[in-house]
Amino acid sequence: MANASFTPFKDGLMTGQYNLTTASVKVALIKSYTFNAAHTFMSDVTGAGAVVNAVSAKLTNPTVTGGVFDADDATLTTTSDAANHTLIAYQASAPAGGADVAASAQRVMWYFDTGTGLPVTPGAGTVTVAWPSGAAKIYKIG
Amino acid sequence: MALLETLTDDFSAGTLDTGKWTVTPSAGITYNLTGGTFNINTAAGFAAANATFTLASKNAYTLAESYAAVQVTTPGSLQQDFEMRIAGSSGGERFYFLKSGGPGLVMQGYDGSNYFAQVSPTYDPVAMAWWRLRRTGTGLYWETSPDGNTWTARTSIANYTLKATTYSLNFYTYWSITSSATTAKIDNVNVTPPPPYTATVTPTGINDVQAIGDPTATTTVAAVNRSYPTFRDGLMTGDYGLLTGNIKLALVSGYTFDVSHRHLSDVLTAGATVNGTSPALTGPTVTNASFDADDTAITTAANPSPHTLVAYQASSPSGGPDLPADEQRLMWYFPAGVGLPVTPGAGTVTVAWPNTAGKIYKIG
Repeated sequence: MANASFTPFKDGLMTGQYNLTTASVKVALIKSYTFNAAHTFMSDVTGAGAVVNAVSAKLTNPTVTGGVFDADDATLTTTSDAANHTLIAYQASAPAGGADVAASAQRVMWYFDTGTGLPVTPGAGTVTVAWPSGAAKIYKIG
Repeated sequence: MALLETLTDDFSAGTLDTGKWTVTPSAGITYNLTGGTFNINTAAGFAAANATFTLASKNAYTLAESYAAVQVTTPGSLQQDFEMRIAGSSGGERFYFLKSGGPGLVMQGYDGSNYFAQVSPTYDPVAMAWWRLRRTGTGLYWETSPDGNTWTARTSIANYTLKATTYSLNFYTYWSITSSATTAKIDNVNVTPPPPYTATVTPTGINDVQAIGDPTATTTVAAVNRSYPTFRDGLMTGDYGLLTGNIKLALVSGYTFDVSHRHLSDVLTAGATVNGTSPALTGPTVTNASFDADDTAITTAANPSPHTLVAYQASSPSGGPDLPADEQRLMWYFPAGVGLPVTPGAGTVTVAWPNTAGKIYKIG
């Protein structure tokens, strides 16, 4: 499939549930997950059988300009696993930031299974996520 | 013979049109047309029990398929009767509205022998500000209206044979007891206002196609109606609450869309003129990435310029009172749709949102 956003994320944009510049936005490397547009929280993803191999730190230098979200590239420290892995981005904290909240309150945003090197079969080491430099960057509305 | 409705007078001339009217006052009763109404006056201490005053049409008219209407600004005081009477040329036949000292507005007819169709609802000076007697087919209808446009039937008779061949229109005032100073006022005889202006526009919904982290992704901007980039940024930074903020629409003229505009004050500074704004949209919903809300209405002033719609968050995202214009965040610009741009009259522009899948606004 193509990279996609979760429907509750799009709803949440309109209802003030997200703040991509102040919150802790993270990326998880997961396997055994079938995208479900209705999933709202990370607990929905793991509840559906997904296994998290690694999680990035909070994305640094997030920007929102002209309807486009961008941030610095991220790295994930991975364990070796022969299965195909994909990426899921989520808001790990409250919209205003602060400590990470429980998985049942961490709102999912995007699912990435398409791109150079994706899906990935991680070794024991590091997976670097280099965000695209195209006009749409990581996420764009409009 | 002219129809009764052709007898028209808004009493704005300052003096009575004696080609249309005759007056028959008792001593101590005066009249004038001050303020554009026909005013019947008695002075303080007026002591003329059984005095009368009649303003009568000078000519005779045909009632069939016609009517007589009047705006009763005030029917006078409790000391007097005030009556609109359509009187037949013979036999004492008459149809009338009568406001006496009692609480009711009496409406009935008299065929020369018997009274009929009598009702006496409690007089409401607002809801019954206009009186109209109408002859349609074989029926007679007594009607009242708050505005001269929307009429409520108060009583009627379905089959009545007119006894007379011609009719006169009379405004009749009668004092049964000694009176203090009083004034009765009428206006707009058979001059009813035009219906209020109304228009309905249906903006085309906006679908902001999203692109997610794919270098080959392309973006599409909605054909004409569009969102402000600052709005799209604000969605991602928690600056909007479409379910909790007060989302309003402004009907503007003289505005050219500018992607850098962020607040309503930017629109105004760019030269836009706001004709009217809606109340906060009711029934907002966000489902499947679509925003929808109830249709709304904007009270407008007449203006020959083309007008378009700007949606904005008037309050903070969480709601509460409206903020200054330089804090009211813009959302969408709607120059296109059924009825848009609109050239408003003095009245109402109803904004009926599209029922298509994307509703008012959709992401993705």
